Amino acid sequence: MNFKGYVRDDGKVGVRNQVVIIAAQGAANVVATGIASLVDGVNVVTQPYGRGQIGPDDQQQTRTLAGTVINPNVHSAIIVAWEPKEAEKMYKKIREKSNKRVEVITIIGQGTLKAIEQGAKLALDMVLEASEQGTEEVPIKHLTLAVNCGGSDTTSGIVANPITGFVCDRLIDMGGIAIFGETAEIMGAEHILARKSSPVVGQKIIDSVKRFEDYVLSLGIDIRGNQPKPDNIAGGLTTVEEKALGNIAKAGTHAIKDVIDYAEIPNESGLYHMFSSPAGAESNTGFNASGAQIIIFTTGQGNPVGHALCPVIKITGNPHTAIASQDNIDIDFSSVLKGEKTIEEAGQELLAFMLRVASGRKTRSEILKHHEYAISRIGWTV
Amino acid sequence: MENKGIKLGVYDNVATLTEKIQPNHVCTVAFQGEQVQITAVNAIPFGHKIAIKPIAKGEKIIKYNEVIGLASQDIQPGEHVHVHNVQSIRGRGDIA
Repeated sequence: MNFKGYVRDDGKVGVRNQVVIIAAQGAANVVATGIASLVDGVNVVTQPYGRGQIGPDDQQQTRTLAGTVINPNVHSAIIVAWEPKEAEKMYKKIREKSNKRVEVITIIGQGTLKAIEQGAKLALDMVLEASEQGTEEVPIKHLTLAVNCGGSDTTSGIVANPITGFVCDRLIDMGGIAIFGETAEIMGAEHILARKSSPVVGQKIIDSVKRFEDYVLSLGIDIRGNQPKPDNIAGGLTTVEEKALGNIAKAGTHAIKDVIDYAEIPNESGLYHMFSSPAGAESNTGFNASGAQIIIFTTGQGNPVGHALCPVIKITGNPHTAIASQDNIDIDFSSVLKGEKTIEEAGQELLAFMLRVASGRKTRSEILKHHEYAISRIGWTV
Repeated sequence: MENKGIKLGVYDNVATLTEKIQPNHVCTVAFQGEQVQITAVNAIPFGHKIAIKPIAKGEKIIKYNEVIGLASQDIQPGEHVHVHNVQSIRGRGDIA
């Protein structure tokens, strides 16, 4: 199976050809959006942090911002910061993995408006360059797919997640990479994932879930009301265990090759678990920074979350949501719930659709500008 | 309209409804060629669970052949099974 993608110098393949203006610090957001308002054909990424972060939190912030640019969907990028050090950290991290064109502009010493002018001139040049690159037909093994779920209900575990799991299985069989995350939301199902993986990886999965559960226990908080969330409960999910047992179906049947950190980039074909928050914007941001060119996002109740840069394919097995949230749902698989179609038939359909999206077909989250971007914080600002 | 309940594992004591159901209406739960008919005790919304066996207080609620929680009260076949009569076992900082 093939798709038409943008082949980069390092051999990686993008499913989009984005010129990205990315703010390395919250104070640079105005300049980043200012550049994007002047130049057609750019994608802007804004975020509120990048000042005073230390240790693992700082590393995660830098690794994620860099991963966002390293992603093969990105043709070239402009890093905007108000002072140069934060931008340099990010620039160096990008250069460990990629030689694509990256420019840095800073606001210090010239002010907001001149920085916008400087960035707009660079962006103009980059868009011209990017517009020269065409697509080539490449095998599916060049895809890194992330699978996510949000606003889950009981149809997610019965319909949309098993269909997505079918796609993960087939992609890995053909040499690709699949990533799933939402570590806290596999609580109650981690024994199943551990059982099908090697003892070492199995223990990593159990320990990862324990880190989240121990945090909840240390606070003396009853997880109910947060897990499942109110929309999950309205959709019939009663406990975090029930939600988790449905959740893991979207990762398919392969053994887990390894547990990776948030925004860590896996290299070899296989299934990976990313240690990550279950919140959609945070996990999507981590997945894309881990190299995912496409995200399949299942929903029961119609969670609309997308990503600033990554095409997000949204599917549901809930016939009511398919109607109520029609503008958000790319494929309605409620026919599977009704018994009119099998998981395998639906999985083949989703696989074919994913290749169309990889070849340029837009998703609804892209068109509706569901451009969410949130890097998980793991420490205090000092 | 015919009401159907989806049973996912041989040991399951609950099924998931593919349509909402009114009290005293019957739903058919099919699993591996066998059909069981359950009369709903309460009104149960779309996608929610119905008990297909008697479940005693403290007993495990089984779905996908796995434990999804414990019954916080006795549950009769046909009853709505949800947060009012089931408790999570995991992430309970309040009782740790």
